[in-house]
Amino acid sequence: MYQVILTVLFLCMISFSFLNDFFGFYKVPETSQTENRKLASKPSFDINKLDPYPKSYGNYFNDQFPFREDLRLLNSLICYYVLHQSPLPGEVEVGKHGWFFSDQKESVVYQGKFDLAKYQISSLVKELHNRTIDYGKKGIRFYVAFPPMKPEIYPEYLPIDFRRAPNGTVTDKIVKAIKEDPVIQYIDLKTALLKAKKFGRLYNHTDNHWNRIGAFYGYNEIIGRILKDFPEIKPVTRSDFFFKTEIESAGNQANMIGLSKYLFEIQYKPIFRKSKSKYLQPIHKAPDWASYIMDYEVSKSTGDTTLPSVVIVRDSYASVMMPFLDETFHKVTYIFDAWRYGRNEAIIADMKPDIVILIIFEPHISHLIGK
Amino acid sequence: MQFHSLLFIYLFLPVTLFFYYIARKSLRNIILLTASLIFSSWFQIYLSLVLIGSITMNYVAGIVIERTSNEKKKKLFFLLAVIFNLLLLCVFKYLSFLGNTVSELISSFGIDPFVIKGFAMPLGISFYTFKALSYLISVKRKEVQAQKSYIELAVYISIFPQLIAGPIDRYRNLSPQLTDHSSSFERFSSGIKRFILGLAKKVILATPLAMVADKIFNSPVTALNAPLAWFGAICYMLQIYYDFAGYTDMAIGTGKMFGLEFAENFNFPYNAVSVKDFWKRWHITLSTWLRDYLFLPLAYARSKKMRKEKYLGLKTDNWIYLYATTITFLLCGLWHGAAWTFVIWGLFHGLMLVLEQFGFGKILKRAYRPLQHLYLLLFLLISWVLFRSPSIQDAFQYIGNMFGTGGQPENFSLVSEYLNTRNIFVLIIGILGTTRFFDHILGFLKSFPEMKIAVIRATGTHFYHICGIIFVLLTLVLSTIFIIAGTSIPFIYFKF
Repeated sequence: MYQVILTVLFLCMISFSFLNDFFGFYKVPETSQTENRKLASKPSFDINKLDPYPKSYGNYFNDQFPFREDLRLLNSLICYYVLHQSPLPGEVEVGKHGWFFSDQKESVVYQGKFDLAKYQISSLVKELHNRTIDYGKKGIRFYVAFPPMKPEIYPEYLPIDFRRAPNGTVTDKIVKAIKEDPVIQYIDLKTALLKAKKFGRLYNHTDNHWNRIGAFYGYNEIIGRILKDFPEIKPVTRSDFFFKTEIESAGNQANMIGLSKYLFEIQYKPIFRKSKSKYLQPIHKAPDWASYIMDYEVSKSTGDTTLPSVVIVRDSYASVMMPFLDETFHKVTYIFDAWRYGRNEAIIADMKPDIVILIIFEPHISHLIGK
Repeated sequence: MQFHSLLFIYLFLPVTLFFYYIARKSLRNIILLTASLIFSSWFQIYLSLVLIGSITMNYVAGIVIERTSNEKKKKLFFLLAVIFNLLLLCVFKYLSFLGNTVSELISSFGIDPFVIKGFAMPLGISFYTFKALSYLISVKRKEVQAQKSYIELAVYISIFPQLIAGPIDRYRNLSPQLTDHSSSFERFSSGIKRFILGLAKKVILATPLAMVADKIFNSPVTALNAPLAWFGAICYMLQIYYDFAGYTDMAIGTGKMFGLEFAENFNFPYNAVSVKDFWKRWHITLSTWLRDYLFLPLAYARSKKMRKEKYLGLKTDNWIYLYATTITFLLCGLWHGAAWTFVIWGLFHGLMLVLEQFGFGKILKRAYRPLQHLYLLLFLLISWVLFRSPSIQDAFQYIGNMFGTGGQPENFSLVSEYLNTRNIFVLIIGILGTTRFFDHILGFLKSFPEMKIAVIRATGTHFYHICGIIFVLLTLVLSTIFIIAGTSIPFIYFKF
């Protein structure tokens, strides 16, 4: 009798998925909430294209598996809370004391698995050199800053197998080459953050980005450098705002493993005692390739014409730095050009800034090659 | 389509079972063959054409060998058929390796080297070629009659549970079952248990062990010390066992669900006390194949030619053993992969077997039993490093790390970094699973119904069976969760 029970239950379990395909007992969602992607649809069978069919069908079957989302979440909960490890090795690394690290491009750069040839580094430096010269001809000062990756600032929380490249990373080589160029105005954020880490937590636990405190130290370093050229600037100081502590849902790394609802992040939100900046209407239409249309061009103004204007070509790392930058200049225009970090000549021609700042998250520096 | 994929477990298996059991017995082989061809085509369609070619040639060869009465001609046809099978294996598996070896050799004489790009290796070619050869040899030896049904021979050679990594079942074992097609709930349910046990071995044990082993083996020398190198080797030793034994359990379990009893491939190999004992317990169907079709014929042929006397102080029998063992294990190594690491691995095993035969075995037998185990485990740890490493240089570098040439201070702090909850659990279960510990536990639970205490006897039967069902199905759910999470990796023996 027990053999029959086991057989029947087993057959019911293994048949449920394909029977569901026919009868639709369980509705499989079209998109995965935890993976933030559209699930694969059924591939059409074409006798002339047989080779790709098995893989496409396999992807479809895996994606349409009933209870997939719930089972993935269960896996994340078991892995994280019971087994104390990443449910998604290769994408998210769980480090020590609840610190999450991205195991994608950051890991590759940090561990020295991504490198550039000498001529590529030269081309990258040349691009920054030429931009500095070209902007200079228009009376614009050009500055470059690279927000460092989380592992560079908090290596002590990394998992054991996440080791820094013994002979240095590609960023080390690029920075060395940039520093040797007398024209490029490079602002070293890594050293500043390493000095500042003793004063507070500068990066999010569950996200690969820095937090607002880290961004504020980054801001100080950038403005400290620009101040030498534009002494009229009045930098934001700690007395201009206070940090309000808020508990927010966990960051992008926790989201990737489906645990953003189960983990949280303590955030420090700057509240300005007196904020002057106001949004301006964007002038330029976002191109089709812009990943975040609303963020393509964002402009704010304090209305203080004694201050210089600035265009900042940025990525997501500059987001939490924006409240401080907003209060510092006459007019600030932020351009998020889908990690192209281009010259954005049309916007610069219209905005006529005094300053252009290029803020590139460290693993993306190579995007400048061939510009 | 891997056994531990959702597609296999939740689509291919139930659909094939459905068609198999609604079909008349006479049609069941056609269902099995169709399923096997779909299974092999799933990886790459043209590669299954190689499989069909092999089946057709061996079908014709079997009949021709049987019908030829002239012994010389019979021998010639047999030889041609064997050459065809080996050629198929050489072209698809060893062409690139052979070409590049020749290229390296001639380049040392100042001739420009060349590169031979091999073909994509057809799925399970090493396994089905050995099955086909076993069939031909059995026909030649008149142990079995040549198969007249193309479908039945095709099912024997290509049957999907055995297609990618064995067991290399003998024709005389499988053939009667493919005619009979008997089945029962008892066999089916034991197949379910075996299949899920194999799935768990692969997904719950082998995969996390692989992650640890891969990280350690891929670490630069500067990041290793001796304890960590030994730890990595232990993880790999357990990984390869659970990977392959897991696959075999799934194959045997699937076979049982279709009413077929496949040959066993493992018998607690890490419980062995010598290398000779190990090969009686590890990949049994391969070692017996090599013994019956390579070692014994080689030894027999040589013994006929050599007179019974001593050469260089060694008895003729020992020379023959040395000769046959060396060739057998050289080819055993090559069978596992077209690389020098596998050749060295095979020869290393052969060397230890010879040493055991030449007197070391006698010393070993007299030793304290735990020491015998220790000897074998140390030998296996070193030999698996050879097996795992991408090149001989890497292997020796890693073995050097095991003996203290790594770049880190010699303490256990690096090992402790890997000892998280999951890895500790996997290591404990993994190590216990290589012994008969769980057999004893199961034996104890099975004894409940026979216990003299009435309450335990009365409830024991139900308790044992219901707990068993819940445990088996929960293991399936847990394995499915890990598969969905995408943390499982392909089988090691899949690439042979």
